[in-house]
Amino acid sequence: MDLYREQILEHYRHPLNWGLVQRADIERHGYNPLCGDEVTIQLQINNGMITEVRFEGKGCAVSVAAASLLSEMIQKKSIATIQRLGVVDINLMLGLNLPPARISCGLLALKTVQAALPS
Amino acid sequence: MNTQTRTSKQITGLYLDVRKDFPIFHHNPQLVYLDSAATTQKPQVIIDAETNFLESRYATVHRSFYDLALQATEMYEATREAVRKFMNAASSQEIIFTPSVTEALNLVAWIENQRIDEGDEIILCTSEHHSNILPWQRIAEKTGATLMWLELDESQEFPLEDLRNKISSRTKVVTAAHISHVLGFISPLQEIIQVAHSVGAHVVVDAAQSTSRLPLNVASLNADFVVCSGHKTYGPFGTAWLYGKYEHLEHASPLIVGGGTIQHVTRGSVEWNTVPLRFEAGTPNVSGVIALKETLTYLEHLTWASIINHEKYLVDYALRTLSSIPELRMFGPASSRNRSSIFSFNLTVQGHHIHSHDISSILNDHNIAIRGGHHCSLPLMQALHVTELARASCGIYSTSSDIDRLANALRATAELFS
Repeated sequence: MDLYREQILEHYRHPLNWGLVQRADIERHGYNPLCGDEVTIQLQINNGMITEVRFEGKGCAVSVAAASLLSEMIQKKSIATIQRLGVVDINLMLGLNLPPARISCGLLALKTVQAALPS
Repeated sequence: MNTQTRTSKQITGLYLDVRKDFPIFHHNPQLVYLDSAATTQKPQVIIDAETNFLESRYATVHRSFYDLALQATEMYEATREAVRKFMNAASSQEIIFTPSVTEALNLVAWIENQRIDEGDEIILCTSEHHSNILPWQRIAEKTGATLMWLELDESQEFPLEDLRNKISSRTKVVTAAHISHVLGFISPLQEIIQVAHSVGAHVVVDAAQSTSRLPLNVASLNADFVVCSGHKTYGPFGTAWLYGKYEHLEHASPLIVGGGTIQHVTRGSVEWNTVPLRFEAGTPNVSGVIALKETLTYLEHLTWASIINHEKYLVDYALRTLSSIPELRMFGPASSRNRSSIFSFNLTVQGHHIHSHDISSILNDHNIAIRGGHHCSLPLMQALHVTELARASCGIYSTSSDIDRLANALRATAELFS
């Protein structure tokens, strides 16, 4: 099970949309106490749609790569669409099936975004 | 011993050659199992003992009067006597079977609760496992006692000096792991007990990691309580025991109450059973405890000398081999003199910390089993200024080639992230 294919490592080394800015519509911190993965996400919203995403994080390769890929995926998506995303979508996004022990790593960024947005 | 010539055993490290006794390696020939501190693999004889009981002798204990039940009770109590001998305890009444070390520690804290008052102190080290922190945290909350934390210094050995500084007339309990499950240091139990007893404090030894690695003579140590693990000592899951001095147990009430703990019950009253059955509520893990006797016999045949020499060889080999990986930082004592085969470490590649979950996953692809995370020791992680660590730990079936494969896989991991 090739978790560490080049895509994951590439996003881990050079994550997209990395670096927080001075002002953002929404900022939210997420943390996995069991393993110490953490992420801070900033979102710009316009007319119920995500127009910009920035993030910074510290954690395992899976959590950082998932945050990077997610930061691209949710742009120009509606809040309602984002609230419906789940582990199936994260697996599709990563291009693999997360083993049970790593699901919380892969979902951290998504859960943080979903908690930050109005339901 | 002649220090000029080395025996072939010393050269090859083959003080123990027991891999063939463990069926897991027949079924998984490529497996490099380096998570023995989490749990140990089982020798065929132990599996057979349990199966044999289940197939031909199965019955409950301490309850019924037909032959099967009487024999099962005899076998269960024979394990208790075997454990007594294993620890050189004065009486088998001082051996209480529990489902786990965690539950044994909860029981000890409950028993000690009776003699702890507001303003009293409980001393423990920052490196302790949560199972040897949370019960004391709860007792401190309930009684108004204070937890006094022993701080590690750069040596990352048991902080004996800090114990000498912090012991006082208010200290009621000193608790310490015999072997640290993260740092691997071996604690100087005799000195710890001497310091504690000088102020009348009781010592609770967490021997979860040492039951399989070092002999414990409770008589010569004069220990108050020692908790030991079955499943980390090549025995079944769900087996563990508490040794407690009879005088500490005699008037104590059980933590878990119910069937088996009583002499008499009415609607409004209870008269507790004798020691140790008072502390063994409910139907125990009968088949597990019976197989545990075979476990102790198996270890006795290997001899402590071989087990200890095997450990020493692996510790030396691992420290040397792993120190040749520049990205690796090893935790715990630097010398093999007072450490066991438990190795916690992290990898930093080009200034970037590699998460132990990533290391574990990549090593899994190499058929190597290690552990990553906070190891149920968050205060220790905080004291070391890390969030998580990777941990490799050996057992009697581990070999130097396991260490070689670990080292190669770690080099490959560093390569992957650079």
